[in-house]
Amino acid sequence: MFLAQATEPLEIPEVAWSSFAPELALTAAALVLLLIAIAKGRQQLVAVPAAVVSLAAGIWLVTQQLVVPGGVAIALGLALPALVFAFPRRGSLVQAWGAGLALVGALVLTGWQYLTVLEGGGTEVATIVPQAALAGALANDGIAFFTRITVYLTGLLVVPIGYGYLQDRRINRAEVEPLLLLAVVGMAALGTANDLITLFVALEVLSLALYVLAGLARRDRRSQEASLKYFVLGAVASAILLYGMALTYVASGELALPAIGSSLGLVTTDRVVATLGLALITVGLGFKVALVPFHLWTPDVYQGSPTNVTAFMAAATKAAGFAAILRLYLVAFPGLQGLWVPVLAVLAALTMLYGAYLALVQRDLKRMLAYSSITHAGYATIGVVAVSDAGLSGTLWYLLTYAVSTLGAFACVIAIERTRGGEVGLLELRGLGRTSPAIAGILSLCLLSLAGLPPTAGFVGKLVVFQAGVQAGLTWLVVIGVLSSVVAAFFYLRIAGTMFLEDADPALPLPAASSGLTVGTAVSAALVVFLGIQPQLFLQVADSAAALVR
Amino acid sequence: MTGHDVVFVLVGLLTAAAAILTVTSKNLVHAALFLATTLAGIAGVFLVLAADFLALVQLVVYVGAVAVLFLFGLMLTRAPIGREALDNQNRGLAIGVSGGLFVVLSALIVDAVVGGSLGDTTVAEVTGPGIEDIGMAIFAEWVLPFEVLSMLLLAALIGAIVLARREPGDSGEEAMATRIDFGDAPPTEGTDSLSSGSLPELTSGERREGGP
Repeated sequence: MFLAQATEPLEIPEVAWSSFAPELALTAAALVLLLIAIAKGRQQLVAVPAAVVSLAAGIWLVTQQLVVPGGVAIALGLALPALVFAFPRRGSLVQAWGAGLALVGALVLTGWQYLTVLEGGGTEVATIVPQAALAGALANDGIAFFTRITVYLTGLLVVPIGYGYLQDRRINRAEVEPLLLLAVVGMAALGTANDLITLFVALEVLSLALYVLAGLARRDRRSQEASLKYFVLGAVASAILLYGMALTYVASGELALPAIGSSLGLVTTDRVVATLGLALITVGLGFKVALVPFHLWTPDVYQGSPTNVTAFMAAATKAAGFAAILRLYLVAFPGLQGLWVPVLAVLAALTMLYGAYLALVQRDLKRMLAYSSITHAGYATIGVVAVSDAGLSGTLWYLLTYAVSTLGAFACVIAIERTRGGEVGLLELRGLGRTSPAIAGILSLCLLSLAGLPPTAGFVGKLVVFQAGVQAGLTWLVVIGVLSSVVAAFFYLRIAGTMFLEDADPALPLPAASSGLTVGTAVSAALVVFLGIQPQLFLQVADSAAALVR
Repeated sequence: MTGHDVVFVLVGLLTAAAAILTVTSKNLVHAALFLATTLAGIAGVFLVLAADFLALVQLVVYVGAVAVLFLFGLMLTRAPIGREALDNQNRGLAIGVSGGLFVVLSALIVDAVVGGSLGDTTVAEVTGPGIEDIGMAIFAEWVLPFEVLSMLLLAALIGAIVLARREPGDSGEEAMATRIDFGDAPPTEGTDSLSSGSLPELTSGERREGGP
């Protein structure tokens, strides 16, 4: 009965997997790392076959003229048994290094994709098209490219930063790195998604992984609370978002974002249903990036989660969420611009003022950084409501600068937390500048960058976004942004002042950095300075990224 | 009575027997397995009725996913597996509800087949998209969301294990009723420090916080 109807062989359509190459590599890495974690004593039994498969795939890819992906596959395949050999009894080190190398490979693949797209796809393979790869599910445009860079870079920095911390708290479970990689994959897919279904599924991948990561410390009630809160509120937000997507589909009859855009521009489209869909989508995505009326989960979740997870959440989730926002609003909803621009502008204004105001009264450093992340969501929104290439590239660039600054800041919090345990309040920071100037200095640098003071990345970020806002005629919003920056600068500087001007409490143990933490912190700090002094390189990339989108 | 009918009756009897065993079995795992058998039997009924696709979907979704999910849930939450008094003494209500449901459903089916009072139910030829179209849609047009969905399931699976698996330091088998403290209890890891050498995740004396 099955298969009784012998039909002519199906025409298998060409699937352009190369446009999803970095994510595929990361997923494979996550699977292999899981397998290695299972094979406790006999890791080579997993590592060698995985390496053989990877090598074979790499060689096959090279013969298919795909030199760079093939090279990455071969390199990762060779690295795996080498890692297992190098750290025979240290499973967590294999995990951390493996995840880090996979992320490096993903970054290389991203660069390769970008170059291929820029060169017009003529020389190497024609499978990467700026728009509409994989039957329109993906758009390998500038938003995708820049989001990938930000997210992979964040992941790459979070792995070493979190390594020692997880060990200290005895929550260095083998599943952490695979979950982190899956979250990264979800974020990158969210940045690339070009239809509603892919967008939603990608969002769920990253959310699910983050719910679990937030509750990693099972003995810590705050961590459990964070996980549960994030899960319940996140599920509600996802449901609202899905409802909005359904209404959008009803109104436009399309799932692909560009098709929705052109359909919503027509006169015949039902504006009421489309508007309802837009409103619900705004609520759902506003939750994910913590815009103000939907931010209530942020402080508790950021404070309760393990600090390295918080850093990852703050930096990477924001980048991915804003990528989705940019693509949805600029590609799918340009027809309803008159509706969402004022609404988002008001939300941005509220977010900036409210976040800065509440950050002022916080005593706990993690909680303060949570409110600061809310504030920064507001700044990034300015670039969205500017509805211009400058605004688009400004937002992308801003998210990168925010990611490196906030990573550096959280890394310093980890260094202080490691020896003091529990919460890091303002009082514990007294005199840190005398006792451990390096950590205090880097923390101050990152806070200055978050405040947006000149020689740092944050300054250039704010400058670009504010410029785009003024160009778009949103001067009032930019004025509010500057106002909120001034308020924010006050509490950032107050921390710096506490560290450098007050006397230390000799009873407090000194912060300690493990080697991974040192490397991660130093790289974040170096990036903060580098992006602040030499922004041209990445700004150019961001600009060409904007050009690729439309 | 053709061979076809015989097979149909046999499959139906098997399904019904498994269904009865599902609700009478005292062992939770056995009940779950009987449930899986029942669902597979229903797939067999579909198959006999020449509804191939429905049978396959029934197998994939109910036997493959729902029943396995059930078993996973039992294992991961460490719910009481084995012979336990799980009867909540609501037999009368249960019989009433299932009996009523049976009557309503049978009435509807008989009504639909015979063509009775409930509106004009005409037998229509099913002309939905064929299996081939569905397959092409999933694996050609929507292949990326499909693959990302598998990543989602992987993440969910890992997450469930992370949240539910017993750690070396967790308390033993007979974990009693969960005690979750609310309020501003001091953080359990608030005092951990490197110097004291305490391993808060391992040595904490309280019972584990996840629970059945």
